[in-house]
Amino acid sequence: MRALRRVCGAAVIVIVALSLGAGPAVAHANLLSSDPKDGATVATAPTHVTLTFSEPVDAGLSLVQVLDSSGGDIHAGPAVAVSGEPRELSVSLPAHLPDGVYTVNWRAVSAADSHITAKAFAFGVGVRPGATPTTVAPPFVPGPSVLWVAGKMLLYAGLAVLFAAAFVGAIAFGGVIPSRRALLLVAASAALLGAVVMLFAEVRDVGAGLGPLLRSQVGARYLWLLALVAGTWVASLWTGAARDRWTLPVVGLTASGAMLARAVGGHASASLSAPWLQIGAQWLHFMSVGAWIGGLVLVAVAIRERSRAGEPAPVAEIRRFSTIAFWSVGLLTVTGSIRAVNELGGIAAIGRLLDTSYGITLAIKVSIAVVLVTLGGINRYRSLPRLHEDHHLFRRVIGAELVASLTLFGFTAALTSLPPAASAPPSAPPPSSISARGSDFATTTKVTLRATPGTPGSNTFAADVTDYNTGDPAHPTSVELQFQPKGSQQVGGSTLALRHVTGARWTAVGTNLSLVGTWSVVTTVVRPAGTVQVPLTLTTRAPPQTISVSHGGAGQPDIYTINLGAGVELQTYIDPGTAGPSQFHVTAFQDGKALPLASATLSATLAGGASRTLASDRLAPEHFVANTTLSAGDWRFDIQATTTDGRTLQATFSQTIGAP
Amino acid sequence: MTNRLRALFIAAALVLTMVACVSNSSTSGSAVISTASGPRPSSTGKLSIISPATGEVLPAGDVTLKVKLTGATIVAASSTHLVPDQGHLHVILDDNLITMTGSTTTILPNVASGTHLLKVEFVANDHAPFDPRVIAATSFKVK
Repeated sequence: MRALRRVCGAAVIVIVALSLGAGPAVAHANLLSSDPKDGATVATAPTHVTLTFSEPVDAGLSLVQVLDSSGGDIHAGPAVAVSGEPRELSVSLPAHLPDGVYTVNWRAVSAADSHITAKAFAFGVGVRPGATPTTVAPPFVPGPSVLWVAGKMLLYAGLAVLFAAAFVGAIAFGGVIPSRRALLLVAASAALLGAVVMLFAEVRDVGAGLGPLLRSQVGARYLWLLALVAGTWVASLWTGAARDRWTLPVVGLTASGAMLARAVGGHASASLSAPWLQIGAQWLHFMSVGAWIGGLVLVAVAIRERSRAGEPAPVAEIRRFSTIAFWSVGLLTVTGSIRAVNELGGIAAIGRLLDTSYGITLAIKVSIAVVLVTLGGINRYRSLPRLHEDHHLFRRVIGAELVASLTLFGFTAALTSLPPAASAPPSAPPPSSISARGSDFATTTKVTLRATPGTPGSNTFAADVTDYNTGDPAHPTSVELQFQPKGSQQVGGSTLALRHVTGARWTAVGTNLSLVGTWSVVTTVVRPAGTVQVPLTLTTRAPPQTISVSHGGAGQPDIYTINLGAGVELQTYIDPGTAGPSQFHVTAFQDGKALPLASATLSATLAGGASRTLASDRLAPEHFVANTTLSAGDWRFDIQATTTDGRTLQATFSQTIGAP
Repeated sequence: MTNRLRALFIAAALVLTMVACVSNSSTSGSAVISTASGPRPSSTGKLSIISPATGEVLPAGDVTLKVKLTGATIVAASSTHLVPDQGHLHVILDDNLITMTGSTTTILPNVASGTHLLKVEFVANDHAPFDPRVIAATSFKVK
């Protein structure tokens, strides 16, 4: 017990020291800055667009597109790495770019772990970019594909069994492992198949082809992994046939080498400080999991083999395995905690765990591990002492452990494909887009449409068009959106043709959502098999607004200046601001000059009461006023106006109306 | 070994629970940012109502409003560029803002019979008052 206390104490010290000392993992290349900046207006046309990411990116696999306002691709060449700056990508632009708004679509492949991030932003040359995608929106991170997760499950499960065959087989079973040839062949084949499946999933997800992938930094890591797993497979064949105890370590060495290759090619290598410490912890984590869970497979096979042969259960071997499992669980707890704290960005960031898919998956994985430990305890203390008399309970529990282990491998595979919480944006952003999802009547095609920023005016539309059954890109020849405001007969419909970017993604920039309200958006997808229409509905969200208030002195109204972006301001005030007859003034300005309005609807709502639409008069093209009577209390005032050039302006402010 | 294993279970459960049991600290962003801006400018203008005179009784129909503005000029253009001696007039009849004007003489059409309170205010280029307000008032009666 004293020894245990020493071990636990040392473990806690190691966890705390390493957690405090190590920087967070980044894993997933997020855009830190750009030149020109998101939303910037530049006076002279830039010759390059340069993007700076949070970690090194693979230039050969990453994509940067610069589109003009009509959706045309205008960049002059492919994205290239900036010399000496592995975190930067640059794309050259044609000389003398005309004034206008330009959208930059980027898709970055991390050189550290090959994971993909993507997003778009806009800048203006000589003009304001208007309603652009905001910088606070998190990058789009494709979720782990089924193929990717399946490949990793096979790889991890296979390597775990192979490592356990060498390590647990040598210590607990004296080198005489059950069903040796078949076990090694199946495990090695599963690992090899898993590595190959992962490679092809990567090719599909990156969309760059096998050749370009293998020539990239990411591809080099896959080649190392494949070589080591292939070596493990050959060693397993040889060891399976040799049937002596001295060849087993070769399998263990190659399997642990493959585990190291995965540790180098995963999140651990993206740690901002002491990456090799994190890689070492990840490697030990892999091996301890292998010894524990792979050892369970060995035990299950041994019991089954002995039972079929009518021999007594291998109680001594299982007791020795129990000791190995004990230390393995301790080691994986320590290394897992080091890795988890690093991925989450420090102990203080644990509170963000459930804010991300990564955190939720990690919590589920830990929960499954707790279940596994509990099942192990049941077998150790309940089933094992009775194994000579009755092996049914032991076999049932170990079966449950193997099912839980397989689930654990699945969550681990998913976990290593998700962006860690430490790489998530620093604060939860407000919604910066609106989206809708639907399918055609015959359920052949699915469309997920996102409009950014989702406010009336200019929006970037991004549609993911996938096959209904497989979820793979549908590969249409064209995609078009037809817009019609619901409940409005005065505004006609409009269409917007989308342009294929990559995979299932089609995008375009348009001002089709010109009014506040709900829109019917019919997506027409032309596929080789025929044309389908997917009906969708989008409801615009209120635009962000910044209000500055000039508090007047005695007899003066409070004057609200509401900045709606793109140089547009609504100046409004309630005169006199006390109960009784009042005037509700609204004046529109663009860049400080009068902005003519075609119409304005002014309404007032007393707290807890119904909204009143006020009769308003136009005093000047940009100035409307409503004469009304207000009672004392907290009021909300709403303004919805349309400019003569068709833009919709929407603003809200609140004011307490005092007693006269 | 039994005690070791039991103790390790407890230690492992504590560490795992620490990682797994966390609070959700999501924040909600607000689309409105409110800041204070500076005070309104004061004007050099002086305003008075020449006609109708206080207590004047007028025949039914249109009423001619005449004002005198000194120290400032009336400009037509609206902007957020505020100049102390530039602006225009808002005309408030019986607490209703009925018109804005860029002239010192304005016709108020079809004023109903009765006693009326008429206020005229010289406002800045952005349609909002100066501080202090430049305002003149009178009352008259329509037969």
